[in-house]
Amino acid sequence: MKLLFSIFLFSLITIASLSASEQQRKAAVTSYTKSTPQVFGVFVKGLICESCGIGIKKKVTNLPFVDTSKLDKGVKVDVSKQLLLIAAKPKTKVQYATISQAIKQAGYTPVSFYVTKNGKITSFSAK
Amino acid sequence: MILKSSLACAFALTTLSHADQPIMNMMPRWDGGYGWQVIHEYTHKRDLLDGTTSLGSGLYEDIHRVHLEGVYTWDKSIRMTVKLPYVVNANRTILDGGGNIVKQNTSGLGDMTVALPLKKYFNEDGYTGNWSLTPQLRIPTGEDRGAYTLPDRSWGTGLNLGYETESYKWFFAAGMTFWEMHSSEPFEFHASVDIGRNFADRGQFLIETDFHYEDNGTATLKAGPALYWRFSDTIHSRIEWKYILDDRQGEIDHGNGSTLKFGLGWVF
Repeated sequence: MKLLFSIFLFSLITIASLSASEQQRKAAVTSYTKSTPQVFGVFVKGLICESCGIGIKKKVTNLPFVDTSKLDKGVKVDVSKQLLLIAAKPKTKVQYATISQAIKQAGYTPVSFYVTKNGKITSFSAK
Repeated sequence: MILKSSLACAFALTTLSHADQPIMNMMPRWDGGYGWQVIHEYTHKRDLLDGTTSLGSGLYEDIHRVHLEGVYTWDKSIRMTVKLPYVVNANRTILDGGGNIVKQNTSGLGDMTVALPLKKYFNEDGYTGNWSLTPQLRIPTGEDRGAYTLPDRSWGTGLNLGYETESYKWFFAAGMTFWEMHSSEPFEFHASVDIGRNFADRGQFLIETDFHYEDNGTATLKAGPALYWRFSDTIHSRIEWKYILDDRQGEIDHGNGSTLKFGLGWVF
């Protein structure tokens, strides 16, 4: 019984952990695109540690439309915002469904993409 | 000093219980991931106990083990792990039938454990975690050499139930394991509760508690700190120290002491 209570209590603590807002994630993507224009972002639920991102990076960096000369082999994680940043090759079609599938194969849940269009960040579902 | 005839024959075999799964009880979560790790374990037990009673001063046991462990993940929900311990050197002092202190030494391969961790992950905004069910098989690969035998050298079947959750700053894990040994070795129960704090995007500091029980009346409670550090996406390390807070031996065996472990893991 004590064990179950401990599990419940700590789960409450983790649930109460502050997570970034939609505005904060969009602001972060905007900031990254200033230095690397081809970058777009993915909100990945559960991406709360660098070690969590290892599998995601392995799956995404090998995708053909990822520019591995940018960021860290084409990807970067910002775990404080549960954000995966990806650098796309110029003039290459990005297959968003393939990215979603790669994130799921790594054990995490893609939620939204943040893409720059006409100088503005727009978001759409990754599901 | 308590003198008993044939004392040297009355010792319980030290049971190896090591609930963590490679790599570092964390990875790999991704499909097709694999890795291995090497853990050095140093145990010092300062008393020879009958229940909670020490049978005399200077009766200790020191064990240096190396654990070789590997993992392959087919899918995030299913992976296979293999753990093989090797006793590099173990020394103990016991009492013979005449009450004299005798020193004994041993080394050699331990019993292998094969496990199939089945995991149900959950990902929420700000935290992640999993429930796990891990059937396990103990294979009697242990060697019987030297003056005494450390591994059980017994087939065994086990089941672990676990829960973990982690946020950007905090980590929590709880688990319990049941072992049924298919020999005269006693049934075992283990429980653990760990709390951790993440830092520097590379490290995790934990306080861990372990409880071990055997149905011959052995019960041991230990606790201590652990530190995980990620050198790179490939190389990971962990060091932990546990002190035995309370120890009761159901059969005459060494107890009361501490264990230090240091591990390095590689994951791909």
